[in-house]
Amino acid sequence: METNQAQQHTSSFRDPAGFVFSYDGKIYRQVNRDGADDYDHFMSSGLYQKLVSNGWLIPHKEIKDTKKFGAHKKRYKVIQPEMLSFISYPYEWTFHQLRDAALLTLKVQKLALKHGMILKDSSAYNVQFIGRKPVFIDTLSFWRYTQGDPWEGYKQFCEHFLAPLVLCAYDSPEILPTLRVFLDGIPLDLASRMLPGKARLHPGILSHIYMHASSQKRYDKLDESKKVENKPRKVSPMALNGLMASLENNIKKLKLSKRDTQWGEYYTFTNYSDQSFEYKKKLVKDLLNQVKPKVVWDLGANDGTFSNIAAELGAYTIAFDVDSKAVEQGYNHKDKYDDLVLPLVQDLSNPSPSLGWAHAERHSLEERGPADAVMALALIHHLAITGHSPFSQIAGFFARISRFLIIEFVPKGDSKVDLLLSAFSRNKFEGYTEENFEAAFSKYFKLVDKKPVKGTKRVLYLYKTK
Amino acid sequence: MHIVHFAYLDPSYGSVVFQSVIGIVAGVGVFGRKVFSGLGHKVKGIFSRSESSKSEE
Repeated sequence: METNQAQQHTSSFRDPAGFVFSYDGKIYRQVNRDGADDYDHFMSSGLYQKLVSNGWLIPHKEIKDTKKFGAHKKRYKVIQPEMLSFISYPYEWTFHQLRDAALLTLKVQKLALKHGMILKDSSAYNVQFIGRKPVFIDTLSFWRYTQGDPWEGYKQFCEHFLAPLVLCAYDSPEILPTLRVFLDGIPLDLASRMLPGKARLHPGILSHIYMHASSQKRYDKLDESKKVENKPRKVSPMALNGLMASLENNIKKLKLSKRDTQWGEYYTFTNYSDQSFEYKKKLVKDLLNQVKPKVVWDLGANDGTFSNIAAELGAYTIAFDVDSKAVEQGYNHKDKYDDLVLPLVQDLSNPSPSLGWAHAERHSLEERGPADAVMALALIHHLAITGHSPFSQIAGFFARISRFLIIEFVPKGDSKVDLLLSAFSRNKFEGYTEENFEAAFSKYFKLVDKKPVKGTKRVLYLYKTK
Repeated sequence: MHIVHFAYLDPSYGSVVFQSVIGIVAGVGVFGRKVFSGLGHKVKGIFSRSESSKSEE
């Protein structure tokens, strides 16, 4: 952008209709002259109002005085969308989150068609979650629809949503983190090779994945002159509606197979009494109350029991866990904190990196911080023993992602730690002591409070980043 | 009216061709289901009317 202060967002550079930029700590979207007609129709047709009143689209306001952003020759308008507390990515979502995002995209598309518009793309990155609710964020994804127009985002929809969902249903949701590699979705040709043969017996999968992939292959082989000869290809409104209905029906029918994971029932197998657990909840609440954070990251949140405590105090809380089943459980458990708790899959031994063009399209976990407060409850032993990460490394990383840290030290002698240690016959983890823990963390943090968890050997610490 | 779109996404020609075909098949299916469900309601309506008229008698 041709200004000194306004910074174009590093992921927003493809769409000729406009781009996202930040200015003075706030997020804006510029509508370019190339997107003026579509934007005006989007606003005047009633589509915007309807999408916002349904809670499907992030609301925005138009900025009258755009001089402060500096001159820009392509500028038509500047809008300011409601700010999100945290940006998440499809490779951090569970099966049901991706499924809900897909269904939202189809609902948005159907409503757009009723207002004479169509989605020009179908990127999963156009959807974000506010707590447990998916919301469409790309205001410039709509353009005018003329009868006969094809849906140019069909391929992208199948690759961003349908293929990963089908792979989850036929195999495992563990496929979803591979979306880190396949940032533009799983190629249909690859998906059709990865799926088991029985998937062909499903008419929806046979058509939208297998036959779709074959059609792509067949026409990719044609030389350009033949493609031009074949153009233009019309898709009737009935066919378009049929396509939407078919995708919707097929996605709604997809289900995960039942499976057990290590942590899915963690809180039903805790090693302390109900009394100690209740006491720990009270301690966490007291420590959070000392900080009064607006945004909390609960690392190793499992199903989000402690995230709800932060939400109860009004904090927007991201409930991270490595186990997709636990996160799924947290996502599917709808309650009064639906707007405040966002469950996400995150492997702390390999946290989300910076990805995409120039390493800057998708931000690393660290770049999306620091959070006002990070909670790391019953986590340190997994990182230090199972993950073999030294205390100093853990403390250093936590200091980069938090302003305050509430961390639980679980010492040797605790049955959970002893269970982990039993897997290592030679390594006794001599350095895994409370003294070493405190020494490592004191390099990066100032101790604010320290409380033992009654009825256990565990200790809770409240640290402030130095 | 001719609308100029400034696209940035490659829709893949094979995908466009395919959706024009599969869309018709799916569209006919959706239309068919609507017709059958409409007929079903009508048939149900006939029976419920005759039942109500019976009770009136």
